[in-house]
Amino acid sequence: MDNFPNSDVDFLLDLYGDNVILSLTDTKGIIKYVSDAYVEISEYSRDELIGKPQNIVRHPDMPSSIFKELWQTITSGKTWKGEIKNLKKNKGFYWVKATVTPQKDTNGIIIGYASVRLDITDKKKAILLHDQIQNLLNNIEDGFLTFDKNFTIQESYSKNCLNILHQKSIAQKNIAEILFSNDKEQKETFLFGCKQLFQTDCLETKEIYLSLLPQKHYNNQNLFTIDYKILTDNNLLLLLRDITNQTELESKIKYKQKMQKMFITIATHKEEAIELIQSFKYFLQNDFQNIETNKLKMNLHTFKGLFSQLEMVNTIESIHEIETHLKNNTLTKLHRIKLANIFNRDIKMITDVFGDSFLSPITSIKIEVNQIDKITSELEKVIEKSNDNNYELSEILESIKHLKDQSLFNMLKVHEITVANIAKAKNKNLYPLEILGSKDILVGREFKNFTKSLVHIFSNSIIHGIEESEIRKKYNKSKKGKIVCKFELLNNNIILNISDNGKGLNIDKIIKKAIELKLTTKEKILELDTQEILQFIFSNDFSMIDYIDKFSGRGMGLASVKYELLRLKGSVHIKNDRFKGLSFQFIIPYKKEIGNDAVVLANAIVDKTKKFLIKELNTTVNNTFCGESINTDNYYSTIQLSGVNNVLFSLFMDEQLIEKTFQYFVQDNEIINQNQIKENLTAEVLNILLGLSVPKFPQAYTQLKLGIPTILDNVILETFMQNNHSTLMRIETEYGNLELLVIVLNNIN
Amino acid sequence: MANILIVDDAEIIRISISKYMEKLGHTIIAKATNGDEAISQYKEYSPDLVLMDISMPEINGIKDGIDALCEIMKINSLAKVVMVTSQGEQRLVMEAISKGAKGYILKPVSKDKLHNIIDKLDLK
Repeated sequence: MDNFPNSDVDFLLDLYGDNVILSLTDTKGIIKYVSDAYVEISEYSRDELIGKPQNIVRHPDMPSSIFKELWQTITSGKTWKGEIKNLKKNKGFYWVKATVTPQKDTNGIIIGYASVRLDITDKKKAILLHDQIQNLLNNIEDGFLTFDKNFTIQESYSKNCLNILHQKSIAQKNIAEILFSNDKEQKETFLFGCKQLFQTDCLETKEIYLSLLPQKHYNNQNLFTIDYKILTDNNLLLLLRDITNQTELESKIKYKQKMQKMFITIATHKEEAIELIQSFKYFLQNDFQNIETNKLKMNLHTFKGLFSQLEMVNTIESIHEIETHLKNNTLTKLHRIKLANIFNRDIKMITDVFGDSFLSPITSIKIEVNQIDKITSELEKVIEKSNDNNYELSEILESIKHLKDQSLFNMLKVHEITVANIAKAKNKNLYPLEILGSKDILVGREFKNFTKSLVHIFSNSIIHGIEESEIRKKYNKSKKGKIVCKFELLNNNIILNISDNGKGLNIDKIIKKAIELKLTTKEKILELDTQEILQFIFSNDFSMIDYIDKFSGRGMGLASVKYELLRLKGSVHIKNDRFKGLSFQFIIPYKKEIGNDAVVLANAIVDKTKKFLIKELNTTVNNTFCGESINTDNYYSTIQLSGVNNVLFSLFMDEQLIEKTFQYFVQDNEIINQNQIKENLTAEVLNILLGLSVPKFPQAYTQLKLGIPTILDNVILETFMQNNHSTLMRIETEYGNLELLVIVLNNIN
Repeated sequence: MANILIVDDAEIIRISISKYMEKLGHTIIAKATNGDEAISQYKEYSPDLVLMDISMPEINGIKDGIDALCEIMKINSLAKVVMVTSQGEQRLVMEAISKGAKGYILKPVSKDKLHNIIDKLDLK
């Protein structure tokens, strides 16, 4: 010690001893001396320390490597400095910054070691706390930061601030500069508001300023909200929340709502919409450059107004853009093209929802079904009453009845939603239901009950047929289940096919249930083929599951399908594969009243026949009416038309009439009496008449193949007449009668 | 049961605020359409509360609601003036507050908002 007066040395030593944690050890590390401060902090008594090794205060948390290093350093004569955690007597701890230095004698030989320690426990605690807080902040999604009245951002902030604010570090920086670098106005408002806030003492006033500070900010790429809080130390806390994505979602939702509004408005203002769209299409055909500017502005403005009434938002915005370009003289050809594209996109959205023909300017009106029914029943009465067989009326009657026909496609389309809902409720992974088939196939309303009943087929497929994802995976089946419903018109039948890729039907279970319901016996089963066994599922009360829920279990679903199918005179074929799935093939006759067809066909031919008789044969036609029985004594010929349907046409002519016909063909007055020739003539005439009439046949009969004229035995003819739909028409002429027999054979394939 | 002075150049605002305030049980003691009128009305009726639109046309050198506010505060330093403001006028409102306004209401005005401000200002 240098220059201290001796009297002060003791005082100083006491001072040191009280405040400095000192210890002296011998060369082996045994404690020789400890200061009062050492005793105080270690909580040992002096007696407990003197003579003990200095590692009495070593804390088990300290790695032994640090002491090895310490020992190596001091034994080599050097001083060691470091931070050590020490153990108190009561097992508490304290941290020290230690300096350990060797004590040497005059010869430089180590005679002991001295250590001076500085208590850094609080500092260590503070650091630990700080780390914990920082850890917390770094894992929060939002941006937290604080700043003082000088707008200086403080050290502790959450890591996400850096992401939101696009900064590498923000400590000590100016919050206004960082936050509002791109917006002078908001920065000004922020600064003013905060300054006022910091200046005033009244808490309520502070809150008022707080509520006026910017709440939302767009900073280059991020949109975020800002929340403010006043802290107890009069600093301000900022909470930044990135809402860029949220806003995207919000704007998507808003867009969808706008679209829906558009659809509703257009649906309820159909005529106006069609008119407007037509005139705008016409308007778009002109190059904008060719229109005088003021006129163009007016037109655009008017269109904009009209479109806004229809809520066609995209088109409106596009027109607005063009108006802006017009104002700034920056309009180019491309702008018109862009407008046309956006307009067409809106149109496409409309036709996607409402159908292609929705916007066509063809006038359509609504008619109620009862009105049609009324007209048809009146017409039927008229036809019944009239003696003169007014075939034209019958044809008109048919056309009117068919007005009620609906697209089969639309009848089936409703199931798309049902399938989606059931699949969701039953947690089955499914492709959306596909309906495949021509939208032009129209069917009578009687089909509706049948198509409605198909819901049972669909729900069975989803609930019982298609397996859960894990099971499908296990069997290496495709991940998603699939149900396809397709239909076509073939041979005057509707062929409707519904198939799934599920696990099909369990034949054994079917057999078991069929026997249980007494639909068959163990012995009779052996005589049945697979198809017959499968058909059991259509029986009443046939359910193969043990529970009943909202969707299934009652056993009557398929029974109702069968019932509706029979009403339409249809049939069904089941194809079952335990791996590929189950498929139902429904065959339903297209025209229910084939009987009507005979009348219609007959009418068509009679029509042409009369014309032929009058024009070509120069006869007069007196009467035409329905005949009752055929007179096969007359010469006649029969031709069969086959194809969609099988139809027999027979022509009977009185002798005199045949002679007249011969004259027409041969231009010879020679009288013929050979039956063969007479029959040939009949055949020829029939051929001609059919050729003239086929174009007038209903659509289902136009693709017919003409057979070879034959003479059918009258017994056969009569049998046919009894078992099928037939019509006999007789035309009376001055030269005798002509009879036409039309037999439409029921399809017995 | 407070006496209220409404200041706004838009009639529809004056009418709707009047209706709400009357429903809340207060009296509309006067209405003004600009800042100058507001000052004279204030002198005459000494209302308990002034609802003042922030942006109004300039009349007689009184540019807007803030100017009128300042004059009123000169007349009575304890005057309770609440600014009625549209979205986007935060900066002006801050200034009004710094000049003595006791609060603000954001348009569109509603009965609830008026009720809250009355509560806050203790104007039963």
